[in-house]
Amino acid sequence: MDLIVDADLTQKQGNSSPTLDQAISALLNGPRFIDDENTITLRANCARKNQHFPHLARHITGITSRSGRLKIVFENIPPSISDVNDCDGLPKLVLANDSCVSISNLDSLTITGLNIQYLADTCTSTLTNINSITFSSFCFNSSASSNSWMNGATSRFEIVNVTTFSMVNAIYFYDAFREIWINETNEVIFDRIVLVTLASIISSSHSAFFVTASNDSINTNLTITDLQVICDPRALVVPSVVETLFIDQVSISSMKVSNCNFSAPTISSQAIIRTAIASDFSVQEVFLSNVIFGSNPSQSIFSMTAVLNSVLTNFHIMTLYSPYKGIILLRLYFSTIKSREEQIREIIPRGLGDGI
Amino acid sequence: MGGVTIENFSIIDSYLNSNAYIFSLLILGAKNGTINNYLAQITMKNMNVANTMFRYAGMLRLTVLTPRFIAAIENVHFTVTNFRLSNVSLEYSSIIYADGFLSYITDFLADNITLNAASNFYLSTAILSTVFITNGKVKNLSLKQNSNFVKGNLSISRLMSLGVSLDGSAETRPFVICNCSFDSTHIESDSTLIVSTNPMIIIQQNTFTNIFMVGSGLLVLGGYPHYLSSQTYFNGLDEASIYYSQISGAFIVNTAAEKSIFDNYPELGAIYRNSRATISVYDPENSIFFVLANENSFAAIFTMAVVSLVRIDNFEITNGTIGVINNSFMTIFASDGMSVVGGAMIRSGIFSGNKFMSLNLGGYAFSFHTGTLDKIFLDSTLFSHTHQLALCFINAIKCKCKRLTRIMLWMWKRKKLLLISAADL
Repeated sequence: MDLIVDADLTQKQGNSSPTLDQAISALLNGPRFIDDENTITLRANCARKNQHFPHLARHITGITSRSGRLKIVFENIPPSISDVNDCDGLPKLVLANDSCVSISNLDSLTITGLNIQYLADTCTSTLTNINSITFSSFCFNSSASSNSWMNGATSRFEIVNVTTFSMVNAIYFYDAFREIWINETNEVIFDRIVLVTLASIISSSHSAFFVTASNDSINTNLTITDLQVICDPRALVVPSVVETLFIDQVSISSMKVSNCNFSAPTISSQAIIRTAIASDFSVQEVFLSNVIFGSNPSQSIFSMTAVLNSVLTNFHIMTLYSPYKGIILLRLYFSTIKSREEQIREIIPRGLGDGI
Repeated sequence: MGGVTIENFSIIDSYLNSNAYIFSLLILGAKNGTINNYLAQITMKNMNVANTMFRYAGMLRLTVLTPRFIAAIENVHFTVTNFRLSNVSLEYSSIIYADGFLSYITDFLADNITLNAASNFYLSTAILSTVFITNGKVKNLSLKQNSNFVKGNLSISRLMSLGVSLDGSAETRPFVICNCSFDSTHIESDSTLIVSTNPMIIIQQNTFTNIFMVGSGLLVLGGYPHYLSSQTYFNGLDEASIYYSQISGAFIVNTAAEKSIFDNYPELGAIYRNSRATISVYDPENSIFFVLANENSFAAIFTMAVVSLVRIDNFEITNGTIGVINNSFMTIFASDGMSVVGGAMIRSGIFSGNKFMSLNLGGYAFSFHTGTLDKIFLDSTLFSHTHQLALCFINAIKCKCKRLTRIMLWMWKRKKLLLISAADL
């Protein structure tokens, strides 16, 4: 079924709806899609307009296990999403407490050209048991809208049991209140992500992306290309951009951090990229320029714990200034213990803590 | 087998202070014998550091978390190749700090480096570690206030617990500086270019030119703190059992440790074996542990308040000897009574094939104070255009053996050639 979202409409007309939630609702019979092929196109007039997932039909699922496809696309996408101002020209998909998304059992889910405002703190958005998920040409803003997160608020956007999860050409506004949590996913791909570290960034354990495999039988590979970190000009805590635990391979190609002042005080160990228990870690083409560190001796750019093989190539560092407390560009906790179980038992509690 | 490879790394125009490190690698100490651990390689290639200041900081820090015993084998090998340092200054800092790792630094260029206030290019102090430094060019180096270019100097008490593989065999921690040049070096205020307390030391085919020293040292070698004492014990592989060593007398070569070290570095293995063979020619029983300065060239050196240019101390170890062989010392001026090669407390020494040319200093070519001197070989020494320099001064409580042959003198201007005194000669 192909549907249109036309913001100029006041009510549904044929295959066109005034809002995204109405269009999605039209695809469903109860929680299930009516058809296998489902495409929703947002007209150019949806730019800057708030859109939601259906408020009441929170859980959406395929007809049978991993069948059906859902594609949501904005028709007026800029050629590239590379500047924060590009986000203003996109429709806003607001995932708030009354409009979390919960989708499962699809063959594919594709969302293109939306400005996702992830504001929920009493519900969790989840995408589970899907062959392929692709977010492209989009913005993702997870900055806090209230202080309710301090009272046991939900903080994760969960991606679970997915064959391939891709985020391509995005701007991610990050303040460490919430994270994208990816578990039991075979291939995770981040391509051309600009992470905007906000002035309100807090010292917390929430990474922008947390990738793990809690099931030993799942092999997970993470591939990152063209990752850029840009910063609010004020003093910030080092952002925890990517954290991985128990995954097989991490590959990063081209990472840039420039004009950042990471001298804000923090009590926690912070690293831009942190990997624990992995077989292979590779990173190439890292550019750091005009970066200030300080105030916390546990800060680092890369932190690796019990990674069997690491390859780091082509690092270009200019004007790194660490005047107060130490920054460590690459922090490795390493073990030559042959037993993987013993490594986990011995190293992880040490390496992930602040005590070393 | 696992490891870390870092290639094509550059840092320029930077300032690191207060425990800041570019790389920090911390390895968990083996629990009960290195046999249960795999060998890991850390490899760095094409590193460039320029216009950067380190203060209470460093570039690379390799440390062992909770070392439990003295291991027979170092399980992590760290290699740096093609390393460029230029316009770099340090205060209370070390470029490379590596304790408990085999370090191999080769093909490096250091130009316009200032090491100030207890700073080092390479430093190891807490765990006796293997060091190989080869094919390096060091220009315009300044060492001040107790700083060192290379310092492998164990300065804390040794662990009482020993790995079982050490039982009866030598602790194998070679220290090799080979094929390096040091040109235009300024050393002052208790600083030293090269310091090592390792049990096997090789300083070979290096050139030291245009060096100005005040109250400092060029090579300070020896002082190996033996791993075995009346309190040491061996830790069984099951972790629970311990026993005391039955070693009495001679040690044997630890072939497993040497194989572990040199399998990956055959060229270094050749240097090591040749060095032991060189010592063995003179003293086959005492070539397990050795300090060997071989085929080095020292030229255009000016010193003030320096006791010995090459100083070898505290190497009385069983099965150990020192050798100063085929070195060239040329155009050296000392404002005080400096000896060229000197030290204290050695058991056996070989001084052969050395040339002393255009030296103007009021000391000895070789000068040692020691207890019992088992063997001394003084052979094929050439003096040419020297002023004030005498050949040899030995002050021993007991001197068992000596052999002096083929001493050639030209333009000799010293009254006493040789002075050997001992209570029991």
